[in-house]
Amino acid sequence: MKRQRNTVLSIAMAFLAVVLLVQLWLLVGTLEAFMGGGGLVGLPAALASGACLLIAAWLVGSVE
Amino acid sequence: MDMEFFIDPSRCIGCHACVHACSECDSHRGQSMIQLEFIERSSSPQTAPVVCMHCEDPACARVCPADAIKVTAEGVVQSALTERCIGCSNCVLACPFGVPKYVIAADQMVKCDLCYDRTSIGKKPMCATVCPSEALFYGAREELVKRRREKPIDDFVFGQKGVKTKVSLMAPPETERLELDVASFISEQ
Amino acid sequence: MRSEQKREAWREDFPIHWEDDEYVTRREFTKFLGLTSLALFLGTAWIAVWERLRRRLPGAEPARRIASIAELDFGEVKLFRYPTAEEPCILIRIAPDRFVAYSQRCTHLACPVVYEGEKERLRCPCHEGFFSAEDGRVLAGPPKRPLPKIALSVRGDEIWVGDRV
Repeated sequence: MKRQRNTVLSIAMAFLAVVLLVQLWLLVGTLEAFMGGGGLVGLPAALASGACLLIAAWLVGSVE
Repeated sequence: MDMEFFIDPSRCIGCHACVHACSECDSHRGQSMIQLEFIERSSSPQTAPVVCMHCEDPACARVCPADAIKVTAEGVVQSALTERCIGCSNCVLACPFGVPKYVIAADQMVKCDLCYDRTSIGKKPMCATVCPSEALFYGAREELVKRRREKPIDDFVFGQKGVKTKVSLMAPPETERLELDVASFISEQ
Repeated sequence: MRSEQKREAWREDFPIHWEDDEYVTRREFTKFLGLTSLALFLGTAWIAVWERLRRRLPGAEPARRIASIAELDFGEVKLFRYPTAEEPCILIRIAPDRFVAYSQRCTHLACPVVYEGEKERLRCPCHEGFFSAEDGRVLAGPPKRPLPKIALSVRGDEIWVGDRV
């Protein structure tokens, strides 16, 4: 039982790391577009980041 | 107002209300963290409640190999952390008061934690709340001293080892500390 | 005595008192990662808001006259500053009847670009980056983003600048 909980925790952390990388990429991309005066990419990026946040929150909630 | 826990075993009537109240807590899952000991079953029905004395330098925490027993900022010694306890019973053997109990079914040690989830928000522990004879009393020291002849002491000597506790035991008024010659309890003579 | 000292070293790593315990459990670390996720989202959202605000702010980029049509011949350039004094821009008459203006800062590492009329392109001498004079897109070299185009309007005899595109 304890070993199962360990595995679940490790998997949740791995997923969380991936989600964070996606969010980081979104942030950097948005920043570059903003600095270059490019098109309005802010809103879709923020929405995608928000979706990532919800996934992250669910993952954190599942290991509580 | 500083609330403290006081035990007076001579007032215990053996009703087991404290044991049942403790076991009814959800987080205890039906297992009581405290027990009633018979003083001398063969000749007397007298019982004494065994609750954790919350020593200042807890032997159970010191000997735990898994670092499972922690002490809060107020000096309340917690029960073993379930993820860490390995069921070695080191604490069971180390405690001079015989407080921790090893539960075989759960492979865990359980002990009283002064109902920390209640006392940390100003409520009384379950056992003190239900005790009809006030053998277990949780409240202000001044209130207790006003009503009783006995003196609360928190200084114990087991053999040559001194133990200072957070929970006080009611003893005759002239007592300074309780010195227990452990060896004499063991031998029949 | 030595065994006493040996005990003290590991007791520091595994303290009994909650407050002295600095051990970070995996659960705590996972929660911390959740907070990081929130921070990244807030950063992205902040940029999105700022992006919107930048366009809506009134009077942020007032239109200004920068040249008259007669000043520039076909193939000539004029340097000007827009919208602030720190932003160098380049105005080019790329055809007898066409004017374009771009930010003069190369999108690679901000060196000023020069106009090469024969090749119809803008060249950045620092790292040999090339932009099309037609629409500012990258033709060759290290720059990744196109050269920002500046909106122009011709009012009678004069050339005015407006919003950046």
